[in-house]
Amino acid sequence: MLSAVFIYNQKGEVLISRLYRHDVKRSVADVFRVHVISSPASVVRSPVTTLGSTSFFHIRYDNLWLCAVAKNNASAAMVFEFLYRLLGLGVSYFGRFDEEAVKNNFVLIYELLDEILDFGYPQNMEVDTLKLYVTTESVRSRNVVEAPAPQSITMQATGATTWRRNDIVYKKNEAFVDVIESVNLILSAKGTVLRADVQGQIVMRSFLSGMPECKFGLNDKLVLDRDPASGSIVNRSGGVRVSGGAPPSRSMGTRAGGMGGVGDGESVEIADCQFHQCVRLGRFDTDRTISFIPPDGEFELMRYRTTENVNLPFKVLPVVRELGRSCVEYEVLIKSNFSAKLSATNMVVSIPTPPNATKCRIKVTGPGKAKYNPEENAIVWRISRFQGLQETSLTAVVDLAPMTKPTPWSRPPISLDFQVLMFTASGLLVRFLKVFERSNYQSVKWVRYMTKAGSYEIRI
Amino acid sequence: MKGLTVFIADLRKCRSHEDEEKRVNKELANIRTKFKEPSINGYNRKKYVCKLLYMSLLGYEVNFGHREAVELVDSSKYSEKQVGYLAVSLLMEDESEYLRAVVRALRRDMHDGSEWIVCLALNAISNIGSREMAEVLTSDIVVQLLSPAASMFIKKKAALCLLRLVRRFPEAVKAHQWVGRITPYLGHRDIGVTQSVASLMTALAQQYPEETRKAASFAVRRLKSLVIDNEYTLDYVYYKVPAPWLQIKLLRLLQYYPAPESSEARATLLSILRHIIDVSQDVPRELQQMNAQYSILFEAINLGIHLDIDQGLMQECAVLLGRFITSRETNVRYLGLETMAHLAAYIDRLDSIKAYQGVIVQSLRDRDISVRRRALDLLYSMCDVGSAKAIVSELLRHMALADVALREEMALKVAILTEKFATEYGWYVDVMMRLVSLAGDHMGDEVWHRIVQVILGNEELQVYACKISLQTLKAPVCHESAFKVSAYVLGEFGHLIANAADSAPIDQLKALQSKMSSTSQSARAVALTTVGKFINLFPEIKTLCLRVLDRYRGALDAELQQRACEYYALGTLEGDELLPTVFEEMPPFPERQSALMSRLLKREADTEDQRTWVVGGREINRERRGVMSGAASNNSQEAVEASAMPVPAASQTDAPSGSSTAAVSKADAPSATSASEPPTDPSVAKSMRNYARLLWENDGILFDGEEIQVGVMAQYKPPGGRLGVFLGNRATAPLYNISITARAADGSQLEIQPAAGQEAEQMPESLMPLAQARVFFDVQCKQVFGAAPTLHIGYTVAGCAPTVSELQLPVTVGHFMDPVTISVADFFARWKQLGDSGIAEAQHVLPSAFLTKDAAGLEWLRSVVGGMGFALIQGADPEPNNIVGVGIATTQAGRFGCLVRVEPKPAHGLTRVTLRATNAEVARSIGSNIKMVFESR
Repeated sequence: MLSAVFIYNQKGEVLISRLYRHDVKRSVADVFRVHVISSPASVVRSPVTTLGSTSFFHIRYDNLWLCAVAKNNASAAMVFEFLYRLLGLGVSYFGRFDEEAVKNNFVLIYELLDEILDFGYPQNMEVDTLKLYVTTESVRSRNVVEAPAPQSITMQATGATTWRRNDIVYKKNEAFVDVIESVNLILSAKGTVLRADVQGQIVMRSFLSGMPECKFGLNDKLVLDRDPASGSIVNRSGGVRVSGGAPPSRSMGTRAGGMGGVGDGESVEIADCQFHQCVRLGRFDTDRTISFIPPDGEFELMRYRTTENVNLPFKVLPVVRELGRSCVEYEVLIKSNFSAKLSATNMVVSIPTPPNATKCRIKVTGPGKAKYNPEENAIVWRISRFQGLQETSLTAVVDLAPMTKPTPWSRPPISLDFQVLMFTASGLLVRFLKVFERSNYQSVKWVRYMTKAGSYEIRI
Repeated sequence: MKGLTVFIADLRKCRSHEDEEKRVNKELANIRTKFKEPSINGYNRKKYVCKLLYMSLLGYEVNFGHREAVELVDSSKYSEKQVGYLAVSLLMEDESEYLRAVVRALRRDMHDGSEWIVCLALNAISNIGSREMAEVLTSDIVVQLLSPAASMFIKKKAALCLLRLVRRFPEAVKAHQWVGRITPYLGHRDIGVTQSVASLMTALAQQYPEETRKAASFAVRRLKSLVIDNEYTLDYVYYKVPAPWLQIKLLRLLQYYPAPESSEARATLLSILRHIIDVSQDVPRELQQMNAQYSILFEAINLGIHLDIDQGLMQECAVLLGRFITSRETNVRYLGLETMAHLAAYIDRLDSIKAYQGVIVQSLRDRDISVRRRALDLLYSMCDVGSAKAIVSELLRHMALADVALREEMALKVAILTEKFATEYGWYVDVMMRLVSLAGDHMGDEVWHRIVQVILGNEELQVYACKISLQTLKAPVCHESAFKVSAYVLGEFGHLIANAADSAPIDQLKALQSKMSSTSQSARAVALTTVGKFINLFPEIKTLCLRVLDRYRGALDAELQQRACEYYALGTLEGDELLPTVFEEMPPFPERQSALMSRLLKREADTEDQRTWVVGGREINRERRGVMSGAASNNSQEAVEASAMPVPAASQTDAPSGSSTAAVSKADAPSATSASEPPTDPSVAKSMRNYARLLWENDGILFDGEEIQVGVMAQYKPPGGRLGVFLGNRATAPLYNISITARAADGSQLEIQPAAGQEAEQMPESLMPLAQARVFFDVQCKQVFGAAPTLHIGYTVAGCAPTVSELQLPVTVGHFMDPVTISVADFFARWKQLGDSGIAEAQHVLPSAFLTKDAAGLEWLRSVVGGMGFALIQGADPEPNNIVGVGIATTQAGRFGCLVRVEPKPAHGLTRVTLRATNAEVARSIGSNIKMVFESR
């Protein structure tokens, strides 16, 4: 299990150092700094570094390094889960989790670290629960009277729903669902797809009173195919809705319908999915219905991955010719492949140039501006807004300087970065979200879709 | 150059590696465009090249700008030229195409009027030092060094530049052409120049000892002027010590040459050394002065050891060193230990060093690891038979505590020492098993391989080794290497202990099995072979063995699976011929250089100056020196083999081969020869010759060492005889506890015992120098015998451990032979008769170069055959040179006739010797005697 947790800033200075066991000394912090943070050799770093008998697991976030140290053979997956949870805790406590925040909240962070790890074993890390009794100094002084009795804390920490207090009240009951997908692609120079998959995330923000029971439906192929009477679910739930008095969500009907023909009426094959701990896995296993009592505020409801039938939002047709040793010619054509009603924003195309490039003459026909960026050895082409079913092209001539030792250019791939709203590359749709509560209040639900580029690369 | 400063500041400010990389990429792109512009001026070019240099130093690849660097070299401005040379030496590789242009520029600059430019060029040459430069520019550099016009400054630079080229391309600089002209510069009046030249000469002396021979006398003269005549300028006095660096260099240089021949030069050298040692008797107070003085002193001691001319000086050094190794200064301790190891490697008497054994053992626990290493080296060097046990057990005790880095070396050295100095078989096995268990993780496979080799080669070891192996396997914890050794030994010799209690075959198998599961694949593979051998050794547990093999037939590892399947198939085979053939007992390994030694010697760094000595005992250094002087180069290989041969193994090498015929000794005294010493040692070769001579002469010296001399006087009345052994003391001190005993290899064949009627006082308690003692032995030949009896001489020299020398006595069947005269016709009838039976014939064709030289050779041959107890029959052979003879060997069991025919062929330098006898053993024994006599001629 974990022997120590360290937080470093970008330079490698130790901001937080907490030891849980005596098998390591405080000076192991320096070992990690010397071998990992300050070591210039390893640009591609392994997240797990084993030096001698000690393993260091680290993640980077903003300008911080979060590092867990284990002496024995700890489960790496568990350690990383812990680190990401810690990160989540930091973000939800301080808004931003960076050097500044850490420096301003030393005491609180140590208090948190005391709470979430006992002798190196992770304990309850649920934000909402922790917020009950690990509070900032000022809040605590104000809420002295309101502080929950120790008894209730125990109940909370050991009860069935550790992630939710039972006394939440909102005037307006709302739930927001964000479907965020990042699409990964590797395309060979000849245009064949080498790898295409989508990693999706459904993030929910719930502002619901009491102990609501939610039900959630996707156009999951398994559900739709296996159960032709899926309509019956709708019917049944419709019945409940009537009795529950929840009106159909405005947002859901209209926006989902506006999704430029993607995924409409079709079902999606979800390769594998993970749920937040609030989801009742037993029920999912038996009939694939997703039902849960949501934590308060923002949480990640599920993660999934699809590899079949990926809708690629952009087509890229590159032509790169090396003319002798002195010059390289580029012709790159990009077509958007989604409904004309939608548009991509913040699109950046990075076209790598040889390391001995001197001068670039670039011409863009269509939207966007491009320029040579020597820092990254690439032509960076920015398109702030790119409508669907449109195309744009770039031609460039790059002059090369002579090299002492002629080494062939490795021709790294062109990479794209973009965001497309209301589009899912997997075709996933939220079919319904229903909320049942004892008091039968009405709730408003909003759904938003977004597709981002993961690593979207086209070889040249 | 503001741009450069700003750039460096920018990079310094970068907070992460990525930022820095971006900044560098940007700058590289900028420089690329700038270099493309045709009108770039010298200043900017210099600036950008500097930036490139900085980036290259940070580790980024700079793949352009070399042309610009060469252009800077061609510039006339000093600052631009400087940056140009700097860039060229840092950026370019040896094969760069631009180097040719650089060489051209260098050549021009070498002859420039300005001293600074010449200096830049010399610096650049030493920094780049490519082959082409060595080939093209050496002559120019030599000119600069020798030129009377060049300043001292340039001369110094030139000498150092040459040093670099000599070290890197010794063959390209053609040093033999100019080395003679440079040697006199050792006597240059400027100390700086002398010092640089001394460094150069040290490098050259290692490659051209002949050409630089004169350097020694120059160095001695220079040292004399510095040390004794006090001729130096005040600039070169460093904390009251005159030119310490020069002194050290000269002292070191002298170590590459043998001691001067002329007694005058020797005396000068000795007086210099003595002066240095005397000066350092009083401990200086200031640290720097102490450092300087000590480093000179240590170098002087090293030189003294190397010259090896004054024993008194050496003893004094030993005392001095003893003081240093207890010093509180770590550096002094280190140097003291290292120099003492050097001393131990050469000094004849280790007593003076052994006095400090406790301190040295203490040093194994020193805080500083390098001191610990030196202590280990010293212990290794000073070990001999007397102290081996103590030192080895001490090292084993430290093994567990020693740091990992040191453990491997320690293990290796313990292994070598144990093997070299083992006097008891049990001890050897015990120590090695303990070593393997203690340090198995830290040593290579060589160690356990060697243990197996030694055990296989020595029958006496085998039973004990078996017992220990079984114990090891039964112990709760068993190291993997120990497991391998045990498994192998049991597989080979398990049957030897099968009848003892608790070591029945089934117990052996069980012990093996119990550890098998917890070992690695390779160890399991060894164990499987052992199980296979068990099938052959113990048919009674065949089913059990087969069950074990069967289990491994499905092993995942291919090696294990293959072994198991093959052995299983062999075990279940119908016929019972193949199995015993396959698993026949392994023959002893042929003697070869111990892998341990070669591993130890392997680690000698190649860049530094050659060492004049290696860590280790005297033999190895003597032998090294022999190789260095080129005297015994062809013997060296043999010598290495012999010196690596373990003592237990040495006693069983077959009789007629070179070294062991002379004398086998387990003694450490310098006088006693031992088979583990190289045969280049003159005393061994001599005693072999002595022994051979006594095969055909009755009286003579058998052994002549530094401490004792052994003579033999024999009278034979077959089948009996009386042998007088004379022991003379040649040492300067009296010998004590003398014992002389003789032992026959087989008492039923030959009886040898002290002569009756010998008075007790004939064996005095002590033997004064030059005095002599004698003992008589009565010999009775009962049967024909093959092995000669041995003579054991034990004595103690004052202060040393008791010494036991073992010598082979010249008593063979041939000595019990009487000449018989028969007629020519009779001779040939017998000859034919014996020849037809064919069994009892021995024939040797022996190289005999001496025959071609003079007629005396033939005469000598006659006297040898006659001396061997044959009656020569004149005119029997048609060829006049041939010799034929007849003799009868008499034993108590019977008489055996023996005929000899010697056919010398002076034209070919060969002699054919044919012996026919009524007993095969007689023919063989006398034949090998003649062979030995020939070989030792």
